[in-house]
Amino acid sequence: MISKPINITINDLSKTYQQSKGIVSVSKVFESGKLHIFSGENGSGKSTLIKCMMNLVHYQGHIEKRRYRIGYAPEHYNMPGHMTVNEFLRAIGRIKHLYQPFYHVELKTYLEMFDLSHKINEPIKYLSNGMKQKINLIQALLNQPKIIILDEPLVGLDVESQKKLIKRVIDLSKHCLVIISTHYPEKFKTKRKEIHHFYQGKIL
Amino acid sequence: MMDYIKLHMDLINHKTMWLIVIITLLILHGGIIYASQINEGYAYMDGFRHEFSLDYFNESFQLMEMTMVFLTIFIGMTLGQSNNQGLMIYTVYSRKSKLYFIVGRLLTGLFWMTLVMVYVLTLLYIFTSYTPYDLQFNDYMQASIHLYKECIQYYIWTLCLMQIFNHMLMGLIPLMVFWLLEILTSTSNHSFINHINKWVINIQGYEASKKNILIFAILYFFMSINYIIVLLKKDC
Repeated sequence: MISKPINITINDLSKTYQQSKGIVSVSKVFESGKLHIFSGENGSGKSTLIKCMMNLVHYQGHIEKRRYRIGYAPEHYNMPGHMTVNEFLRAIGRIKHLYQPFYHVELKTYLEMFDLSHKINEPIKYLSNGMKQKINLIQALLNQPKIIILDEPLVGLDVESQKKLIKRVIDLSKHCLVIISTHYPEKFKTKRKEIHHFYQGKIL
Repeated sequence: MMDYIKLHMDLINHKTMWLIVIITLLILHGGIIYASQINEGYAYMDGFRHEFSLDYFNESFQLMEMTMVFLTIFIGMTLGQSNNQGLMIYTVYSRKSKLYFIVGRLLTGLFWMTLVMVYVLTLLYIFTSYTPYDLQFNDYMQASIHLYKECIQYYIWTLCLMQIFNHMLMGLIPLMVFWLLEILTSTSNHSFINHINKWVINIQGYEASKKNILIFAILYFFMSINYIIVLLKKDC
């Protein structure tokens, strides 16, 4: 059975900040089955477009996406330091309406994948930056999202974790809509990747 | 909505928060006991019960007012700080979820405030039953309701100031206003102070402000709505 493709359609999208232009009149369709990679220099509008897709900022134009489960890992993570890894992920899981037994299974999978099982009851403030990035990624993948948006996911990760994440993301992109913003598109070795190059707020 | 309230509950459920709440409440316990003149002995208290009763009631409520306003402002500061704002990124997927996040924050503060208030009022009620003083239930209820409104006022002020200036220290402004009003109301009878008391809820200026209670309700309702709208329109 072929599942219905998941897509995000962007129509004439613009986002202006007080001092600069974030995104200028972008129109694009992102479909599942491919790994969409946003690349481009700093300030070219990659993260802004992602924030628009996530409804985190106000924008002009139109974004059409159906109500699928969505997982988003921001570039700048800001997690409450006093909460333990488990408390934080459980709180996020609750908001994502994750069924409790299912939460434990998913959590176990990802903690093992990122070698974080021993840190489960540790307050987030005591974790290293790389570990915080892993938690940031786990919270995005926890609810088996149909749309996965990861902003600079490789930053702070060790080589082994990067490899595992890349493999996982490539697998997921077969049936989910996966969008990744990165400066290292060459690290994602798959024939199904589509690189969108950003320059001064536009996709070339 | 409940999940968002639980999230905010988790956010303020940390050591510093509990330490400050416990220390403040312990000081209040001591204050109420001291205000009862217990150090003079039960027979003395009983002998001057009519003379002491009103003083005890006034002093206890003043202590409760200080404790509650301080804790309310502290809860507002903890919930409104920019770190918690950052959590929106993980939990907001649509305008509806953003609305839930903001309303959840407002309700969490109110819930905490109510919880501490109920504890404090019960404490006074139970402790008074062990003293010879007669607590007039109607006065007690009226003062409690007035105190609750005062706390809501300072809570909303704190959240709004934190939102506008995005700085933790902004929470000190409502605290300073409270202290100034407390000092001025108890030391001066100038018409200007009476005028201020009409527009800022406080227990000592109760008589002056109670006429405007409907206006206060409308004002703070619109301030809350405004707070929600501003946050909804703000980029994360």
